[in-house]
Parts: sequence; C-alpha cells; structure tokens
Amino acid sequence: MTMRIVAGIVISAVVGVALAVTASYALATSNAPDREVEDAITTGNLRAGVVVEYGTR
Amino acid sequence: MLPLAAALPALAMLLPVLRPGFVLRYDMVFTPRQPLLPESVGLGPALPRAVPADAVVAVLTSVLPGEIVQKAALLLLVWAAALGAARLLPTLPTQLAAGAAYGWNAYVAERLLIGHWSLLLAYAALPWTVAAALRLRDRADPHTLARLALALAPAALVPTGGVLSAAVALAAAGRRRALPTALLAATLNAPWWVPAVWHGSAATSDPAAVAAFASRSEGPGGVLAAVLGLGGIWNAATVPPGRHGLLVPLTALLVVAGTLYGLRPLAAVWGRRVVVSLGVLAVLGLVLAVFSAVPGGAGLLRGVVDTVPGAGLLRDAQKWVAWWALLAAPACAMATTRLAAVAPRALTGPFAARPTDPHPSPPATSSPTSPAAPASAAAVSPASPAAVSSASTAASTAASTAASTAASPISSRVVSPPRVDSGAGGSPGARLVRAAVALVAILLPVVLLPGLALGAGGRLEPVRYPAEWSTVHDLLAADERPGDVVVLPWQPFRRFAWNDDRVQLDPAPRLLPYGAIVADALTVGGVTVRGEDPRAARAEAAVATGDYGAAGIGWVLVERGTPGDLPSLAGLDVVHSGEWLTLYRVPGAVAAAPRGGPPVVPVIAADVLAVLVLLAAVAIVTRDLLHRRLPVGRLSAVYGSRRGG
Repeated sequence: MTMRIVAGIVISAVVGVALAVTASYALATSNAPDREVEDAITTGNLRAGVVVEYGTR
Repeated sequence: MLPLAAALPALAMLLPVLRPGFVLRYDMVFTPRQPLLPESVGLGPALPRAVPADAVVAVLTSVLPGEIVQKAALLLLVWAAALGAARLLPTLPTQLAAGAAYGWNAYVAERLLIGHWSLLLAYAALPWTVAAALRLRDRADPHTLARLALALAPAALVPTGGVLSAAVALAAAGRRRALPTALLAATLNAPWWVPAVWHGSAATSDPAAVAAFASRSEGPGGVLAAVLGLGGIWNAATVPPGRHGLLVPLTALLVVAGTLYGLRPLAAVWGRRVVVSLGVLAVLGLVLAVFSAVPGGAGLLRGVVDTVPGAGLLRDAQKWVAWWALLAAPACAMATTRLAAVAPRALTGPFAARPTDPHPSPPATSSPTSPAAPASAAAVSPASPAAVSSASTAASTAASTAASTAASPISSRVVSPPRVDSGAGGSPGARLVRAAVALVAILLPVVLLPGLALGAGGRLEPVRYPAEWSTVHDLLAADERPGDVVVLPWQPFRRFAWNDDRVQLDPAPRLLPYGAIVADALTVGGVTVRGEDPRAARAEAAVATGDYGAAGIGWVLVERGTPGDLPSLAGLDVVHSGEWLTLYRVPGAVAAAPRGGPPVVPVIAADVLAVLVLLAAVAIVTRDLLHRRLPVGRLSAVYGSRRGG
C-alpha cells in the first residue's frame, strides 16, 4: 500500500515537472520571431530579383 | 463533456488566430469575399486541385466575412479531429488520450503551418468516417448511409482528402458494404474527379515534383522515424518549433510502441477485422510516405507521376500518413488501459494477487448482435457517462447497453471493454497510478510537441489586407471590358512586407472579381517544378514579349512589397498606383482568350448530383435527430420498447 502511494506521488511529480517545463517552453517560444521574418532581417530586406520559394528541404 | 474537452486543444493551438484579420501562410489564402469562378468548380483549364473547396468557400464568403469563415474552419477542424477520435473509444481516459493524440501531433502542426486546411478538414473527418462506416457495417439502410455521406463530405473538398476518406470508409465498412460505400464516395467526390477525368493525359505531373515533395527527415532515424512520429513534411520551414533532434525518434518510438501495445484492446472495441483493415491502410500510408526514400522508389514514382494521369496525388507523399495517425492515436490511447492494469502489479511486485486478464481476446467477427456474444460483452457508449463508468466492470454493463446504443458511433457494436485489474484497482494507490497513467497519456502529445501551442509560436498570426486590394477589386468590377488580369512579379508565391514576409500564395485569384492569372511553376530548394495551367503558360509568353492584348490579357496588376523582378511595362495605362499595388490597363483591342477546360454539362451534373445526395443526407440525419429529441419521438420509442418487451 505504502509503495503504491509513493509510486503515485513519484509519477505525479514527474508529470508535474514535465508540465512545468512544457509550459515554460511554450511561453518562451511564443514570443520567438518567425523564422521567415528572422531570415529576412538577417539577410537584408530583399525585395527584387529574388524568387520566393514554395519551401526548402 | 467531450465536446468541451475537445475545444481545449483547438483553443490552445489557435487562440492567436482569433484576432481580427486573415492567417496567410503558404497555401492558406482566405479573402474577404472569394469570387465564384468557373475554375472554382473545375471548369478552368488547370487541374482541379482545390475543387470544390474554392466553390464552397466562395459560397460561404458570399454570406459571411472571409475571416470568420477561416477562423471557423481552423477551429472546427482541430475540434472535430479531437472529438471524432475520442468518440471512437469507450472510457473517458482513453477518449481524452485519443483526442489529444489525434488533434495534437506533428501531422496537424505541419499541415497547418503549410496552410493545407482542406486536407486537415479531411483528416478531422476520418474518425467520423470510421464511426459512420462501423454503423453501416452493422446495418445498411438510408439512416446509416446518410451518416456516412455527412462524414465523407468534408473530405471531398479536395482530391487527396476524398481518396483518404473513401479508403477509410471502405476499410471500416467491410466487404459486404463495399458497393454502397464506393458508390457514395464516388458520388460525393464527383465534383473533382469528373473534371479531372476530362483532362486526360494532361493530368500528369512534372516528375521533378517527386524529389521536391518527398517526405523529409527531421532528425536522427531519417525519413522513417519522421513519418512514424506523424511528421516528415517536405518543407523544412513548416516544421513546428521544437521538433528536431532526439525528440523525433523518441516520438516515433512512443507512437509505434503505443500502437502495437494498444492494438489488442482496440480490436476488442472495434472488432478484429476492422482493426486489421485499418492497419493495412496505415501501413500503406507509411509505405507511400517513405517510398521515394527507398532505393529505386523515387525512380519508379517519377515514372508513375510522369505517365499516369492523376498520379500527381502521390507526389506530396507525407499526406498519406493520415491513415497511420487514424490507427495510432486510438491504439495508443487503448494501450493505457493495458498499462493501467499492469502498472500497479509491476509497482507492487510479484506477490500481488493475480488479476483477471487485462486484455481479453477480441471477438473474431464484427457481428455485434450475434446471439452467441458472451454475456459479459457490452456495447459501450463513449458519449454516455453511464457506460463510461461501467466500462471497467464488465458484469454491470449489460444493463447500460440498451440505453447507450443510440448516441454512440460504436454503440451498436458489441465489445469487450478491456478490464482493469479489479484486485489492485480497489486500493487508493492503484487508482492513483491509473490516474497518473491516464494523465501522462493525455498530456504526452503536448509534451512531445509544445511548439504547436499559441499559433505555433506566433507563426499563425492574422494580418489585414491593405485597403488598396478593395480599390483594385472595385476598379476591375466596374469595367466591363473583357480580358484577364495577369499578376506580377511572375511567380506564384509572395513575401509581402504587410504580412511580415511570410511566404504565401498569391491572393489575387481569390480576391479579384474575375480571371486573375498567376505563375504556377513552383520552386523548391532551387528546383523548379513546371506548372500545369495552359493559361499561365500563355500569360508567361505575353509577359516576356509584352504583347498582352493578343493573349487575351486586359489588365496587369503589379504587387509591390514582395520580392521579384518586373518586366518593362511601358505603354500600359496606369489606372491605380499605390504603396502596395499598381494596376495597368492594356491599351487597344484585347483578343478573346481561349478558355479550354472540361465541358460544362458533365461537370455541373456531377456538382448537382453531389449536392442533392448531401442535402438528402442532411434531411435524413436531421429528421433522425429531431425524432430522437422531440417528445413524439421519445414517446414512440417508449411505446415501441414496451410493446417489444
């Protein structure tokens, strides 16, 4: 009985930590700049002579 | 309860989308009011890739603002996917786990980020198709056929969705119901396949598309690990944040292990034959997705795409992973029932009392109403709290069977709900362990893919169209001179500054009142995949020579604030010049442009037939629902049951 309760507490603690990490990560990434916007800034605001690709592999 | 729970992932994923404006990313282009054009119903010269989705959106945006239609569609597809998967299983923990796994995964994320909302609508309809097909498998009548028609309809908006759902319906309905199922699917999908058939040999694709759109590795384990974990889309820029590195093979491992572990209890719910059929489909989806990565596969696929009309459907191969998701999500959820039974024993050691078999053998046949069904077998209603609570105590489920058969997609199927260890289950510790297992199963999809939260980290952000678009729209609508509009720069995708430089399909064909021609050759990683629209080829020649009038082009629209070269436009009359758009009128006579495309009569006949079947299905299902809800229906049911009893 005691072992089961301890196991339950341990599993709940693991889930709790995972939740906290997930929530923190989601909050941190939600304000991250869009990758495409970032690319445009770092490579200069290209406006002419460029083909907009459907995507990159 | 379940509808509310299913709304949670939808809101967590799409909350930023609810802000005013349009989400414009890659192939997702909604406009304030989309025109209903011949191309919308497949009467244009191009292949009907977005038919009848464009027609449906055009009709909807004629009565509702386009941004409302887009928000409703996006929220609906995530909500319906989670709810549909949840309703396929018997107990609340498995329902929540299945809903979370099916509604929150890499497939949904990647297809959302590339803007394939119509494909995701089909994906969301797949569990509902399974439910409707299971009913049809048990009983073929107008009522079950009507439900299947309603489940198939959202998927029929685009060719790939139609094929995905038709195959699922055939697999779940079984051989005995193959003919009505196939006829129904063919009728509802006629709006796209009838015009496609008329294109004949022109319906082949550029073989370069096979390499360009092949599934892609996202981390260790290569393409196989990526698709087993429900990801692997070809476009690196549409992979959600956080999905890389060891998380990719870890996700694949968990999905595969969970699916294999949960197949047996899933077979106890759906029936072994149904699970086998859907399993074959899932494997086929995986094979199609990785085929171009195996030696010789890419060459074979290139040959098929180049020569077989319609085989272009196979080029974006990761789409077919939807079949794998349809099996994996419920199976992983059912695996928790086995884990919940095993975990307390494992934690308390080998001296615990031996419980009953936690995963009884599933019924060999799917004939649910067989008199030979075991006494403990029960029809489980996922929608019924009474049945949910009784699922773990098989002996008490017989009483709830009759009451629960009405509302559930699997209610008329006799199932043996996986028993939970009753010996260990009584103690608070075991209950705690089971609750923990269920909680982990429900949260695991979010833990493995947190980057999908809040509009995938801001990637799904609404923006407003510059007001100039409506100015240009009104100018074109007011001028009755014939002639198409050619849109420059001559390339199909844009990075508008007003849309934060996000890659998006040119909105002009869905925004202007008529005939906007845009380039349709796609560039992927420096490789150009040739287009298929003869109008675009003609317009490209006109752009090169400047002889617009002879090509039937009456207007030239230049979109500014997006990359791309412009040809000389000297000699054209400027009608509007603004910050984002310049509209030129082609002086002189404009020749009548050859229209091309399939004949009108068979295409419209196919549309009318599909709409009539759908309306009949809506009428039957509405009547059934009203009959069940209204007093007259309840009274007749009571009267009927007393007379029968």
